[in-house]
Amino acid sequence: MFYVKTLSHEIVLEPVHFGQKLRATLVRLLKEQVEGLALANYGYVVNVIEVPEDQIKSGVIEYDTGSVIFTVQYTALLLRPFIHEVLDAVVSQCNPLGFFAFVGPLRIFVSKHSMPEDMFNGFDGEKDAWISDDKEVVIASGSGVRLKIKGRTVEQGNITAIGTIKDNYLGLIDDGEAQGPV
Amino acid sequence: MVEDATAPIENVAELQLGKEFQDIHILSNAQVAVILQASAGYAVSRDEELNDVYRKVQRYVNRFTSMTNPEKEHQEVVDELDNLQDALTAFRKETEDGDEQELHPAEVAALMNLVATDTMVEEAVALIPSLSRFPEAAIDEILDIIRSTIIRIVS
Repeated sequence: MFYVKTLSHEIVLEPVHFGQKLRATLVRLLKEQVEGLALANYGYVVNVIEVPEDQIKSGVIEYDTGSVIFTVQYTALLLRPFIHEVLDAVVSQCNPLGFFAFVGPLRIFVSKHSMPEDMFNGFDGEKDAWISDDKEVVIASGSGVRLKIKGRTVEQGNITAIGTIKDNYLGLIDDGEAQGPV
Repeated sequence: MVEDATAPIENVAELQLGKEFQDIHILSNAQVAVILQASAGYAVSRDEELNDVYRKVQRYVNRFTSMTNPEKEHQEVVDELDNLQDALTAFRKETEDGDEQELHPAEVAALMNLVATDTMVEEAVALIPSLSRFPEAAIDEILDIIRSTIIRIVS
């Protein structure tokens, strides 16, 4: 789910940046450091929306280095998987254990145990796709699927979620060829 | 996946988001598309590069939004989406006890993301279980509000 929240971040500013463009430099550094980051609890920071002027308070001088530490508050657009939420995702890769799908930068794995019964044995190595017994449903790279998030893990700056398509109304949405509105 | 045993149980199906997420503002894919479009224009005008995560999200929301129409005026679509979100957030239903029920922001976002013109009550409740606290007629009303907005945007 995408949401907007106010977060705070510490920026260490070297003396060379002091001067008239201090605030502009702070905002630029903040965006460089924080955009695209995966925060453990809050999810991926997609975009820094606003850095209110009055929220940049005076910094604290670090005695050892002479640099100044600013604590900056900013509003950010974040993406985080919530347990039991239903999301649409794009399939990227299929393997014998299941398939990987992406919601933007967020990677979701759906294991074959979380697929409907009639797809359990449906991995086709040649086509690199998961196919149902009646051949009606083909989940391959580029397909859109609707899945439910069951769990979430954060490792090395990336968030991976576990999903399922076993419940009603979940599963293949489109085959990725027609890219018009749903 | 390992959930910290001491952390509160998170379950969006029961509208439990966790205590740190009580004051957040939830957005639907369509609204995110609007924000990113504006932000992208701004960055391009300052000759800044858009980072990887940003571009992936932009590709994603542009693909999965049912409420877009490239032929329509950008501002018109933005207004329709805002109206829809206001209408859903302001939706109130009196229960038998006389209390008023309203839609949680997570439900509003999920509804705007997942509902299409042919979505029926059964599907909506299967996808968003917390909706089951509303009577069927109320859910139908909600779906109708969304349906008419989609039709207005797409036509």
